[in-house]
Amino acid sequence: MVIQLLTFVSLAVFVVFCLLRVVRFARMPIHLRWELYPVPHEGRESGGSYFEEVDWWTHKREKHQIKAFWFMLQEILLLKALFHENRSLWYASFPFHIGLYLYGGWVVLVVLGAILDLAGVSFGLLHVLATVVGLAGFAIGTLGTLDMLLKRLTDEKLAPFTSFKEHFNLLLILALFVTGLLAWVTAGSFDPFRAYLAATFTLAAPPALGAMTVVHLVVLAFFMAYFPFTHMTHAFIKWFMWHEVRWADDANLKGSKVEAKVRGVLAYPVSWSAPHIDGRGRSWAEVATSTPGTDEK
Amino acid sequence: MTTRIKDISKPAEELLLKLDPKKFMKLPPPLEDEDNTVQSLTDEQFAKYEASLDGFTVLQMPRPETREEKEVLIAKFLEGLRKLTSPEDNWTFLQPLILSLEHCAKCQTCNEACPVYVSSGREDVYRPTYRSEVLRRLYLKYIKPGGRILPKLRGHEIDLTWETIARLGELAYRCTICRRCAMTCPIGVDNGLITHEIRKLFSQEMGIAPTELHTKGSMQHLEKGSSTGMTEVAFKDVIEFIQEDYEERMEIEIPIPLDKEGADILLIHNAGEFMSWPENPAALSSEQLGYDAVNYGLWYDDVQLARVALKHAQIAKKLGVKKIVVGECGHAHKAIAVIGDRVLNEDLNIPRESSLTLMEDLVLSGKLNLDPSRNDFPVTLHDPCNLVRLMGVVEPQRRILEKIVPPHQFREMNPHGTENYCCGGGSGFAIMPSMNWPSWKMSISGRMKLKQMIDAFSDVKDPEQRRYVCAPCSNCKGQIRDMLEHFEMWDKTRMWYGGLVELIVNAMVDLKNPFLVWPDDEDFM
Repeated sequence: MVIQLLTFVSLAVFVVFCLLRVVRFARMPIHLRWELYPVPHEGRESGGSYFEEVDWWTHKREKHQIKAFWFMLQEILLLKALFHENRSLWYASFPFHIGLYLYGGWVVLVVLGAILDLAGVSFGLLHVLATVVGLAGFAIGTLGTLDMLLKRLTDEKLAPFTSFKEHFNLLLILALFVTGLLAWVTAGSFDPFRAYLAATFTLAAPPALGAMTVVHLVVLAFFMAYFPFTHMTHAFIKWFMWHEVRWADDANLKGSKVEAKVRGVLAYPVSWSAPHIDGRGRSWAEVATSTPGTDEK
Repeated sequence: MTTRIKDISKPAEELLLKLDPKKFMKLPPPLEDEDNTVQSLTDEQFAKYEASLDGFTVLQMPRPETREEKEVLIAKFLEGLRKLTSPEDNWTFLQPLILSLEHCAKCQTCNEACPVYVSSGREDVYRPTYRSEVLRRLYLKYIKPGGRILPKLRGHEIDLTWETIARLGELAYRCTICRRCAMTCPIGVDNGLITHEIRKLFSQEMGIAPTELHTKGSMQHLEKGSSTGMTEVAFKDVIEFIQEDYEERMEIEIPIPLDKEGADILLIHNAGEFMSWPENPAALSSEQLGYDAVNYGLWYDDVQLARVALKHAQIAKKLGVKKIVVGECGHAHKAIAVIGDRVLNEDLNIPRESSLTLMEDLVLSGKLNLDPSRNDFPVTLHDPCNLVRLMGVVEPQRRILEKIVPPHQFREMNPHGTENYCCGGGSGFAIMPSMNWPSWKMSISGRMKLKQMIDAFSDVKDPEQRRYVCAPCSNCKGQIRDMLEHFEMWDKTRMWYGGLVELIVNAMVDLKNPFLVWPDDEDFM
């Protein structure tokens, strides 16, 4: 029961704090534009933008969302930027990330298997698929993580700028892969995980579990509870990095949502203290329309 | 020897980095044996200003002497850092800043994209990640709740001394904010933005900024009308002179309309053009600020940026023009067209566009009688970061060049377009001439561009063949001019520079004489 409680708590922490993180960034005020070209949804081979058109504001804009999606897909699945810019690290990072993706896939397949078991549906192929995906993920992930650790420890560009935290994160993920692998080796299958999940979903007592299965569940629980507080959240926060900053090229057109948001932030008070700012509790709009040193105090 | 993050807090008696010219990136012939010696500060300057980062200073901060002065510096910095992470004070960049501060994987992938880091011989202090990591640790330790609990274990241990602050402020001026590093980040972290935010903290809270950007820059701009110090009267005189010069040189009368109410276009231009390159400008406002499109706030202070952008929009509104067109000045483009887009709201939101698109329209329309053979010399194109990578104006200048330069004479630099290298004068460096700073600009920040320019003409074997670097940006031209002069490139290779519009005019069949003036021409100024 303790391990089930741990699973529930860690899952709750994972979901709640990941959501809070998303909400935190989503609720931040509109910022000044800071895009970086090429912007894929512009759909121009050379990396250009609508600013290349005379009277661009009179033209209907077409956003090539498929190109943006294709860019993200290549970036997420293949780590394209790393492949082009830092090949030696890609050789480690690619299997590391593929291992994590497969691990995620394995979890989904095992959860699905547990649900089908509870529904009384037998679907052997799903278990085979879970075994293949799980083993591939654990094995590839282990190799990738070991290589990442090695690079972090020995590469002269990386080692001096790697802190204990980065080593710890890698060791934690390594533990996730290795204990998963050992759980399969000692149990001969991933069935105990499925049985455990089925029992947990119905709040029933868990089945007898092997030591490595328990260790893996503990490591996974710790990882889930720890993850939302680390830079590893780039896995989903990346969306903001691209869509809200690098590709955020929506113009401030009259009557647009951007215009309304800007109106709101211009009413914020300014409290910067340098003499030329001369805030005096005034709003951004008031300060920006004043000339330092010439306005009446 | 590696310079670690914690080293930034070393006592000021020791330089954090002593540049070694032997390590600088090698330049191609004819500069392969160039003496790379960098100029040092004088003993008097060293005694007067804090320069313990690398022996250079653009901030020209005096060293705090007493314990109280040091404590005040630290307290102001922390207050500024708190404001930098507050939605009210920093709505302008809060989201991008926090995203970049909290998600770096420290993979160091961005380093090789940085021309400053590579040109310096890969000095750790100049890594794009170095200053970011210092600010990140200060933020995580001193601003985030619970940050002082086990900072070493959590990877953000750092000592906050006055030296940390002084060196960090100075280090924010060892990056041209070209954002080439951000392009390569697999996660989307933007170290150029972090540099920008450090500069803001120093200016907006501590009142510390380079004199050329602030006192002689944006303040002079707001007070006198131009960062060059040019008044409205002086501007009108210059325009009169330019008109007379045009008539004399081209034997054509070209009126330059000033303050024309209800005009289709208000052209705003970098006032440096009127002073340094009078062959470039065209139609304008003579109202204060209306004749100077620069906006130095872009580089260091959001409030100053907003003030200048708003003044430009107010002038356009008063004249009742249909749109504002920005002349060949990269940062002026970005300031008013991109960044200013969320400052110029409602009735001040007057459409803005690049002069390059307008010129492209003119050239491709066939209204001008152009002959590319008039530009029959090797030409390469510099892509100003603000126009290209940061605004997406990539093709118009190339389509213009196709019409005004013989195809066999045009060659791209490598890399080019959105992957271009900064000229080395970006983010204000081009207009900073103080003390030994020019030596740093020539040796480090401009080195990659110099190499690119030489490489672009490597197939030109005749040493007497004139060759032209087309740089459609005033600041880039300033930096390129200084580099060509410093390395005597005209004498060594007949390499010269200029804007795009000069090449267009030079290709005009209706002109009797060539418009371009080369250093070996009689009427070269």
